[in-house]
Amino acid sequence: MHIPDNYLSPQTCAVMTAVMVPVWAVSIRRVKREIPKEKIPMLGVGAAFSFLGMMFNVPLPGGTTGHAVGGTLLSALLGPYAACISITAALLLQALLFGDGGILSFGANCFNMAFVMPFVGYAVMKAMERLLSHGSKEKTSGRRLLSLGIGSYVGINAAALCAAIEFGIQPMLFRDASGNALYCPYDLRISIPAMMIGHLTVFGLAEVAYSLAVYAFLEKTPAAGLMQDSGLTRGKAERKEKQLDPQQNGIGVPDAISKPEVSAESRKSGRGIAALLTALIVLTPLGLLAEGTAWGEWGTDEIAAQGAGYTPAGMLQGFDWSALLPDYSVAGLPGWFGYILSAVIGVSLIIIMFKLIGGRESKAA
Amino acid sequence: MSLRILRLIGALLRNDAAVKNTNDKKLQIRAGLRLFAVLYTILLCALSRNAVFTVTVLAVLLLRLSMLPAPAIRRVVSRTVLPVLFAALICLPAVFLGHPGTMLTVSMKVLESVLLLSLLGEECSWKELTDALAVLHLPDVFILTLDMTVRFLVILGRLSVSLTESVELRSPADTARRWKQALRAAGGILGTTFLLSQRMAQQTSEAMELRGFEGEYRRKRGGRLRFPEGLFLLLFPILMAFFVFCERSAGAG
Repeated sequence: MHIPDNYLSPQTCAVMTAVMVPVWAVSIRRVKREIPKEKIPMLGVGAAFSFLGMMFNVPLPGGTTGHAVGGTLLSALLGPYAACISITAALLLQALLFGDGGILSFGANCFNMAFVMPFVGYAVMKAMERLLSHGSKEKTSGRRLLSLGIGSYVGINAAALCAAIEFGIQPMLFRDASGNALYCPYDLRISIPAMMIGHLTVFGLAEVAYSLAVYAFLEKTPAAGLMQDSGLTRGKAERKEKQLDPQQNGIGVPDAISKPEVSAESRKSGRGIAALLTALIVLTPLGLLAEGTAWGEWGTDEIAAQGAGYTPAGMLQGFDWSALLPDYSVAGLPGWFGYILSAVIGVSLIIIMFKLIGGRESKAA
Repeated sequence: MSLRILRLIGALLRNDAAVKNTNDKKLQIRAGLRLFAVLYTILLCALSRNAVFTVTVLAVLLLRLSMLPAPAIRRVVSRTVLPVLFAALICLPAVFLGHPGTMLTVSMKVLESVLLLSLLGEECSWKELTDALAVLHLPDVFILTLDMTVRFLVILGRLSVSLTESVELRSPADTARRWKQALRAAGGILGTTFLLSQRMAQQTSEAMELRGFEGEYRRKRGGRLRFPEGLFLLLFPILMAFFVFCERSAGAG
């Protein structure tokens, strides 16, 4: 679902970025206002989960691959606004360091994966929770997991549909004198089925499985309770009450160490999260088992052989970004080692970034 | 002496309680071993001719950095930014000469060296580091000079800041004139600081004599190696083996 550079016209990229600017502004404002500063590093942990989820490629017959994003999972854990910020950070690192997703198409990728997916997934999840509870206020784990599963499935499919439409409108809007597409050569009749078949089947289920597995694990640690009521999902009064209660504010991130008086419970939850992140990092090479490239993520040299029959002019003369670790690999090292190394660098940078932001927030406060 | 330098020295001498609180004593590695590992890694990074070794070390350092508390991360990052930018700026002509990789490699090596030293500074206090220098059999005169220099920089720095503040407060004029006056007073401030430093040096020498300290550092016996330290020692052959592997694969490529 990561749209590379030159698949979308610069005009489309500009519009998508313009759409995302107010979304980012509102999300940042809401996160600043409603998430206690101690919990800001938790956004980094959320971003790390999303980053790692996107490294597990799942194969589909026909040679394409896809992956989970964890957008609805992060919404359930942190709230949709915080999820938007977390996924944006993960996408930014992927684009800059690993060349996964374009620089120009960053706004479009954020629109699909950091805006549509968490917000739609969250809305569906909440609606399902209400529907399944039949007016009863008691929330059971089974109901919550079912709602999260359905939310995740709808969320990733909504995002995939948006990506398919962005791909599909390119040949309708941008053509050269000979009638060839300037950018993505596949119209809506091809892009929508190509994107949706995979996401309605394997990738949608992969998203559900990833979300449920991580959520079920976190639910067993104290971190779940601390994460899910992040402040955005509760009433304001309750929020204020919780913010005033230091017992409730202890978070289970590795940053728990920044507060010397952290409770044993939050330390335990921090260990749980660290263990889960480590396990995911070690398992990332499993993503290499899926051979092939995701639909719509082919390089300029590959696209002519993928049914288009030609390489669009806009792609040949387009923007080219040389990432430090292209495709999560290091030249001269086995693929699995490069994958683990990329996962370590990505996760560390995300956590460092959010700890620094959290530190700045607390300084400003 | 500016407040910036004072802050830097203060950071050097600071005993980071937050980090200390989190480090389990049982898991702590003695400063001498850490210092040796840092110098060893810096040397290997400098000698490496391909990006594989450098990127791997960078990944490990970033992981360690991400485990530190936010204030420590901020300190390390702020110390790292300037040298890396400077290195990148110096190597900028290489980009125009068609070798952009050179700039990246050099900047990355600088980043690693500064990160290693900054992380060492965060994890060990100045006292532990001077102890470590003694264990590494560095001449006593060198350690004493280093120790005294850092301590006196802080003391004299504080003094000169107080003097500057008092000069500023006693000359209530507009900013431009005040600066002129302050500049005129700079000679006086430096002179006073110098005289005071002489007196302090004399006092320090007397205090050393009183306490029976002649500038000779006792080499503390570290005792037996503990299990975590034994594991830490394994790092050296592993790093060397990985370095050789990377160099060979670079040579083969």
